Amino acid sequence: MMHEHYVIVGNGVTANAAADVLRERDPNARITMISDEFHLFYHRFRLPAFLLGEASESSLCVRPVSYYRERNIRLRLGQEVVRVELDRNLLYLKHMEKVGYTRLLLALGGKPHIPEVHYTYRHRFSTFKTLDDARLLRSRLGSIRSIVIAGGDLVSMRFATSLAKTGRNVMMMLASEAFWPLDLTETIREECIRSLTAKGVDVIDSDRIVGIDSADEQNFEVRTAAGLILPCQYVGAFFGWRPQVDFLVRSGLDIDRGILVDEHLRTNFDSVFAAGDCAQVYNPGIRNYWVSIGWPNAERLGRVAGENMAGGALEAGQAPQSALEVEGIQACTSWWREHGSE
Amino acid sequence: MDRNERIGENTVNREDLIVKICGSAGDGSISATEILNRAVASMGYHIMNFDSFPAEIRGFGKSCGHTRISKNPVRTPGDKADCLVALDDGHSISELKNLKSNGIIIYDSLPPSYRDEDTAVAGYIEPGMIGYGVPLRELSTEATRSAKSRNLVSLGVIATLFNFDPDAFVRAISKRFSGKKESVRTAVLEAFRLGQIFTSEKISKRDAIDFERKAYPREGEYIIISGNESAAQGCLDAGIRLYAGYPITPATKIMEILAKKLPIQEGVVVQTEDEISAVGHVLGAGFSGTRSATATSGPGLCLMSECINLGVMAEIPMVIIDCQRGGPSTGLPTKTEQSDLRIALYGASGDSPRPVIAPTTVAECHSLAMAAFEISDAYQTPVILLLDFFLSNRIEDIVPDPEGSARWGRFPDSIAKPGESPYKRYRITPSGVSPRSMPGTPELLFTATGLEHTENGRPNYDAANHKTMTDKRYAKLDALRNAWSLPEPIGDAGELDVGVISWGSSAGSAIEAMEILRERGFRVGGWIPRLLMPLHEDALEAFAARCRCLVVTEMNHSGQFADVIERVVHRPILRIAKVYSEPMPSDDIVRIVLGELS
Amino acid sequence: MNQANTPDQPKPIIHAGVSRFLEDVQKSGILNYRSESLPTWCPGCGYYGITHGITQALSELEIPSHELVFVSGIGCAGRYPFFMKGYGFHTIHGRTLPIASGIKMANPRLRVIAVGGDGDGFAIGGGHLPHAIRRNIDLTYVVFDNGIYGLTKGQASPTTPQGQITATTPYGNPEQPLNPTMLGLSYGTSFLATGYAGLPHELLPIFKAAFSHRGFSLVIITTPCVTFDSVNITYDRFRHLWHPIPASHPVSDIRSAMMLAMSGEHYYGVMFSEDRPTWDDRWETIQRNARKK
Repeated sequence: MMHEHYVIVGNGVTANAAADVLRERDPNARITMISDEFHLFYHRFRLPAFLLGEASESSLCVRPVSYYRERNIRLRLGQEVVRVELDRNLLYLKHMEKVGYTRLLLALGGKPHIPEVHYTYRHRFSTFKTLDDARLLRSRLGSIRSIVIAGGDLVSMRFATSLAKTGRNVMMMLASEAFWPLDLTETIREECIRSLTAKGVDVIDSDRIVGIDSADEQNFEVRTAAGLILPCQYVGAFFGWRPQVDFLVRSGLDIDRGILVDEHLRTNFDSVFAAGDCAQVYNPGIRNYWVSIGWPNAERLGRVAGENMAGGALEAGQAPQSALEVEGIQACTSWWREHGSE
Repeated sequence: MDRNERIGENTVNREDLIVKICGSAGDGSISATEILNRAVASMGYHIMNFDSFPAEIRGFGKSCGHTRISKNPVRTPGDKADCLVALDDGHSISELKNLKSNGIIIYDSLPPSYRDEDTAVAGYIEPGMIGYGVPLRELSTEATRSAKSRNLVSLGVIATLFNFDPDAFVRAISKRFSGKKESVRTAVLEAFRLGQIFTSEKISKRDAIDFERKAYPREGEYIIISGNESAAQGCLDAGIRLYAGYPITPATKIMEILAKKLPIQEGVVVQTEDEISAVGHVLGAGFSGTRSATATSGPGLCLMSECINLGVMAEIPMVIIDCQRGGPSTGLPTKTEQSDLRIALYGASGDSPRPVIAPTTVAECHSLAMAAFEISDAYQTPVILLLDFFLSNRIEDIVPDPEGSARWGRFPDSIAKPGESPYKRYRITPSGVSPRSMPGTPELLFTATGLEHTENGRPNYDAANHKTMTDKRYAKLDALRNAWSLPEPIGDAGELDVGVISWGSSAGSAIEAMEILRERGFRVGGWIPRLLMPLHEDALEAFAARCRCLVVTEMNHSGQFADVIERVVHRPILRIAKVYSEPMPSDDIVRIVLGELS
Repeated sequence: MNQANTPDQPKPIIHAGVSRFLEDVQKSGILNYRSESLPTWCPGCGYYGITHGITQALSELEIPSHELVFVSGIGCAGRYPFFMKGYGFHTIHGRTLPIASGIKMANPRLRVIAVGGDGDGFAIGGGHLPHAIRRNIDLTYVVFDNGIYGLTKGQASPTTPQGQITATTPYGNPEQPLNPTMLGLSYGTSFLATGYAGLPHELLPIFKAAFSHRGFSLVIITTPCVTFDSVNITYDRFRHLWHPIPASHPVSDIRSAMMLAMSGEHYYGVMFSEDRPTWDDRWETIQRNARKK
């Protein structure tokens, strides 16, 4: 009998939740997880604590290697999918290997988004999404006195206040497109500014970056439309995440801002599913797509995807009504607080 | 959580690195390993290179170079590698199990086409391991218009990644290709350079191994050779004029070297019809007064035992090198084992005393081979020199010992003078050694025989004579024991928590284990005799008396040396006797000893 | 094979009647090649005749006894070195040729004479003969072929005829015998001579030729065992069977030699002889070439 080969691209919360369900439902199937990150599944919300030395690197790890070995889940880390042939059930990896699947789950997560307007100096932005980012910044932290944070998404809040607590000069340029895919309502915006200022962050509102200069790639000067010049040693880009779907372009997959999936998280290819931050989920009730944000959502969608890949027919449903509201200022600070306090 | 499972945990910079270069035969993995050896040795690092052999004929199979590089003398090839260079994906996949869980893999990132699932080594990189993709084939083709210089590209990667002095590599490569055309030399150096450039420009280093371009001065002229080469050189330096042998793994290399070099020294090499004939030739040469040797492995030693026994009875000098391998019977020709000790010590009918010597390092293969000839002549006896697959094939940087065999004692010959009348070939003397006559000498005629004989060599079955002559033959062992320099204990003085006794090729593992145990705060000493027959029993007893826990380590199942030791010390000993097939892992010794101590 | 029951060293018994004969013998010089020990072979053994031939040849060739090395294996012929004057090596069963070769290779100045019986040479040691022949090592190998194991008291040997009753073949030997002459020729020996111990005076020219030959010389002497063989090789049966090799036989023609060997007749004399580079000659060349490289 041909066993199923479930391939999951991604190693975040959605991917791991799906893998768990698949193993429960099908003890004999091959399960492979592929992630371009080198690290084991880790708690992203602890990265600021790690940055400040409050958490060790090992405490970030959610699951040890043995977890996967015991469940016979093959974990391919640091391996990047560069191309797909979905009609032939084939993935092409960067190191020149073809990997076949019977069912595929795309749980790609997102990558930091830098808006087009900053294109010419985009390389001077640093990002703070991955453990590698955190490691790099941690190694440089000693020589950083001033920080400019551009954007202002969910992660940036905790990041800014954490660094301000250390006595560093933290300036935050609040951009209008922050919080994508949520709209930054006026109420939320004001709430944010008040909260940040109270915690020692200088918030610069209604202005935008027009250039970043640097003589030595260590010290930067951020120029703004209003004519401000902000000297700093770190410019962080926090414009939200974009689904990492570059390699899916021209694959035949329906993609809008994220990968479009039906209420069962199935894409327009029968054997391909998508879930988590990279997916736009159709909700027949509202006849529209919605995007998941936050750890609990991502985990729930991962389990749904797992059930459906194994032959189930669960509906993703809609994001809880409260989610859209709660994903506002309360949620955006609470989801990591909630888990960080475990 | 296991140390290796922590995310991102990496090797610390300890100036000790194990590199494996793995490919198909023809990919140049062995030749790249040789260049690596030369390059790092020229910086003053010590190396131990022990290539792993596939089961049988090498042909087109896997070929894997394994080198350990360290600023300290290397005692074992180490267990798992820090870095694996995959010149061939298929063969390298099976080598991954020999890579540390945080090891580095250098692989070809740009093969001509996509590989099928599970045929790319990079696909097997485990969490915690670090993969560096390098377009080995592309860079090789760019430099030499051939994919064959992938090995040199990979050396460029290694040199840059670990921050070795690249000039040392350039010199080693130039030397290696010194016989080739200028254009070839330029091309291969370009292959190395492209590997360097790619690494410095395209690879973001994620490991923590850094040799910081350090170099260490070294005393004396070193050479890089294998145990077999060292032993063969010992034979040459001892002045042999005849070598007789029958091809057998892992001893054949000795014959191949001597076949090339001995004729230059007016010597003769004869490939005989079997091991019986080989040792027969050596016996004949020894009878006629000429130094000669044979080398074999366990199965051959079995065949030789009858002639060796005749050598004992007729008191003929002869040297037999036994490069042990896995047994019994045909056993495991390409695996290492120390299980011929018993046949070497006792393998004969009757009471058959014969010196047995076991070198522990490549350097000792040379000086002890020379010593074997000295004592063989001095005590007119067969001498067995015990190497094994590991010692025979491992390559080390050695500074040849200027003292040579003199390090082990002085053993003057006893030669009869014409006019001694009547000449008694087997005259009873206090040392048991009788003056020897060389055929061709007038007046000192004698007939040697495998029958029990009188002082003048005539067959004699008288009980009293048999006792006298048996005593005489054993007396020679006592004389040798007295002339041989005492084996000095190593490690701590005084009372010891642990005393480790070891012999032969696995002594390095024992010493490494001792060092680890000392770091853990134990008082540790070691006793490693090279002369296994006769044993310095008084020295052994004195050492054993100092030890709370007495350990004997060896690579055989039945504890062949432990049996010898136990008979002398009359006390319980911890036997670490296992057939590993691979060099003995020192941490296994540590684990077992710690278990015993707790 | 066992070495059991060898009698103690016999005391020489000299009868007055033979004293004149002894005088002749002493004059002949052959005693210069005899040790003080008298042979322990049975009275009437063919080995005495062979010994006579060998010592005569050595005497005529004036080979100094200290340059001689007699090498033997095990068997009645194994005792040979003890009765000869020269260096001797009484080795182990079947290994005569490797050890003799080693002696010669290590010291080419020595004159090496290897001796052994049919059991030593064709049974236990049979694997060494072709290779000593291939090397064309410059020594003489004398096979004392009596078709029986004498020292162990009469068991079948590789040259015992099929059907013969011996101690180990009480119902008749089931194996067919070897043809040692054919064996030597087909292995490619550079010298082969045959002789019969019952014609001791015919042995002198054979041994002289063998000892003078440069290269491997194989001498096969058929010799009766008067104690354990009363049916096959006996003086009575063989008295009229032996002929000299015809003068017309071209001694360097291997085909002609093989015809003689296969004829079923009993010939004595030099059957084949050819000048070829010896082991030492070949090694001189090898050593010269090696030094040039």
